[in-house]
Amino acid sequence: MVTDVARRPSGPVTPVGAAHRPSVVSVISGRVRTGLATTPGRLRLASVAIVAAVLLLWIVGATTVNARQTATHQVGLETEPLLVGAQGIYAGLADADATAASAFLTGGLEPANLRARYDADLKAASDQLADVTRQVGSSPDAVAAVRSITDQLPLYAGLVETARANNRQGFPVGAAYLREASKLMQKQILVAADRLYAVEAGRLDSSYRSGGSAVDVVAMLAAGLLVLVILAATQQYLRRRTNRVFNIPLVAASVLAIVLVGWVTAIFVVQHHHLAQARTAGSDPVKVVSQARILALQAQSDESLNLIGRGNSTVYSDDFKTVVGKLDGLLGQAGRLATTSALGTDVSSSRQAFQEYQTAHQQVADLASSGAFDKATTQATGVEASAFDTLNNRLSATVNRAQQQFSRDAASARRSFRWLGISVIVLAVLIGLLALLGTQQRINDYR
Amino acid sequence: MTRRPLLLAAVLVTAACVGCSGQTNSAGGAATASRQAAPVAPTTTAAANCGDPTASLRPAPGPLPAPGHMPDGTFMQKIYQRGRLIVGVDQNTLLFGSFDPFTGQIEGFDIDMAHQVAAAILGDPNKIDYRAITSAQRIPMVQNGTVDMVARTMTINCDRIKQVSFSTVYYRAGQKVLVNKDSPAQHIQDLSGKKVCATTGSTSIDGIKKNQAQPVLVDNWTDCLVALQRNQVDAVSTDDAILSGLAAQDPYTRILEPRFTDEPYGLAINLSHPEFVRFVNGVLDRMRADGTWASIYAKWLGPVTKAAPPPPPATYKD
Repeated sequence: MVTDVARRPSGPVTPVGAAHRPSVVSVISGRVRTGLATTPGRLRLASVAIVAAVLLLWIVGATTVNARQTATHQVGLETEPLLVGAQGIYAGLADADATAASAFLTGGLEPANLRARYDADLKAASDQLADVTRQVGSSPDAVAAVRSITDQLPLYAGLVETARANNRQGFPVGAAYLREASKLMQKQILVAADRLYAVEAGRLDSSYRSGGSAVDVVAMLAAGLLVLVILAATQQYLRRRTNRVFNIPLVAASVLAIVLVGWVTAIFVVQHHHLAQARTAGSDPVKVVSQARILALQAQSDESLNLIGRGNSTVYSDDFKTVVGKLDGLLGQAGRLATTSALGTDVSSSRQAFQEYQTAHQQVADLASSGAFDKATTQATGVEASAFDTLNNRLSATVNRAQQQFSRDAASARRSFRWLGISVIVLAVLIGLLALLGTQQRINDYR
Repeated sequence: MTRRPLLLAAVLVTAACVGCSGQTNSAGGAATASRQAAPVAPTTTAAANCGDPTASLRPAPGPLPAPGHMPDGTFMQKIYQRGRLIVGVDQNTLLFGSFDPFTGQIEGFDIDMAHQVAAAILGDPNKIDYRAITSAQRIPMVQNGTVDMVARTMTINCDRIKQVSFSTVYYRAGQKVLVNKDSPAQHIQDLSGKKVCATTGSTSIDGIKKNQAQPVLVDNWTDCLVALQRNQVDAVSTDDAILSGLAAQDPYTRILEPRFTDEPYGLAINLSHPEFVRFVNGVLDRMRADGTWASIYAKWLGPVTKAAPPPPPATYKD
């Protein structure tokens, strides 16, 4: 009985299409005008407005809760794990390359442990690549990057095996194959891995953005305010008409509306806090320290290739300097990002390991630049290699700790949505029913 | 009247200058003709007439000073005081200078030349610091004093003698072509328009360009073998000495005859150390005379050549 009026609550405004259907419009606007002239008519209009506003509140509530919940799920269960996967691929490949070079540098038959590590690296990278391939789905950039890695990885492995086969026969062309393999890895495969990583990092950022959008809160508050204003106006009107100070159902509806908006907003704040925490204490340090680890691996490859080349070119030593400079910057950044004391301890022990690695490198570099490549190689495969392992392990441990922190915070953020979806529906229905009850009681007084 | 002396000069140059005569383009048709059929075409650069670039400085009269007794103020004495001879070498060229992954040693014909020089100065053939360098690094490394000497399949030519000094010729190579066994090519001329690999900064590039092939440049000769094995180039063209080393690593390749350039190898030394050049020439002379050269040749190149040639004779400009 109220639905016909609901379509045109603002009767006096002439609809755009009026010229085409004058009769229908004039009938409706006539009814509205007559309806508005009486108190029950106005109350009916008020109840319609309240229902419409509550409907709006429900829609806004459901939409924003859903959007945030989805984004929070994405962050914790899709985009961040994908980013970690992309980093895993990157690090696995970089480690394989560093290990292959280091095995070569050691000379003679390559040590069994290094060979095992290379194999394990390639397997881990391939497994992660398969996982990521299943999940990247829609992003064409990510798909292209994954394809580029998938296409070239067998080529890389082939070059390394050819290097090995030649090396076992004592042929110098083995070293040439290794250089070719490393070039393919550094210039193509790792570049694609980096691109994949960038795509996933971008997606994580956008998940974070939609998970903490201020628009959600503003929309929720605005919809709540609209409901409260209409409820308040209706109560004001009733007080003037009926001399009753309180209309209990309408007051209850108002209180519930405040509760609904307050609750949802509070959950948003809590969820945003957890998500922000997941980012600052979790995924941001994960990103920075993983990048640092990848750079460390690259530096170690450079070191080995430089010594294998015995001063043949400055390409690798120059790259080493650039990479180590960036690595230093990233560790500094990681130190600033480490908000928890455990993570801070991890980062500073990584930095200490980095200092020791640099000291070891300096000794190797001094020997190499004086032409004592044999001694430099012994030093590099001994002291420097173990300093590198320490650095690599500490960086891994730091990444793991930050990742655990991320998982905890992301889980808390997800948990904050428990019961919220259903509660929004229940409360909205209750508010609507109470408002109708409150107005209907007064309308009935006029019967 | 002026024509006769000019012509005479040209003939003399062609006869004497094995490493640099191709540039005398006085005879217009010569270049084309030699491309057609010439089995031994003149080599390399377009430098000006320089006489015989392989003519080096004569050793000081009398026997070589004994190891450890280098004359005061000489570069040899400096090396002796340092205790190591620093030599720029290749570690990628089997037979001449290559790194043996099992022994961890660099070895080859060039390396044995360096061992002889180290033994003569320091009394120990192994007191050497090796710097593995690319073809393109040879001249700069000698010029800036990073190395005392370069022993790295380095061709003596008119261009280069302006930048560094050379010892007398210790090995005579010539440019040939390496192809896959199933390649239809029989001569360098068959590779016109094809991709042929050489290293940056090597004289081999000129030989490739002269035959209208398309040079593909890499850092090391082994990189050329990689490119050939991966079908990225149709052939590798450089000195037969280097090609023998590549062929030894891949039985599915063959070397195309004949030599189409002459590449006399010398040890490169900084222009400011003539006394060291004379000393090294003295060492080389002794090696030629006492059979050391022949035994080193037999050790490295005996297995890949039919008959051992006599040591290349020394020529001097003073």
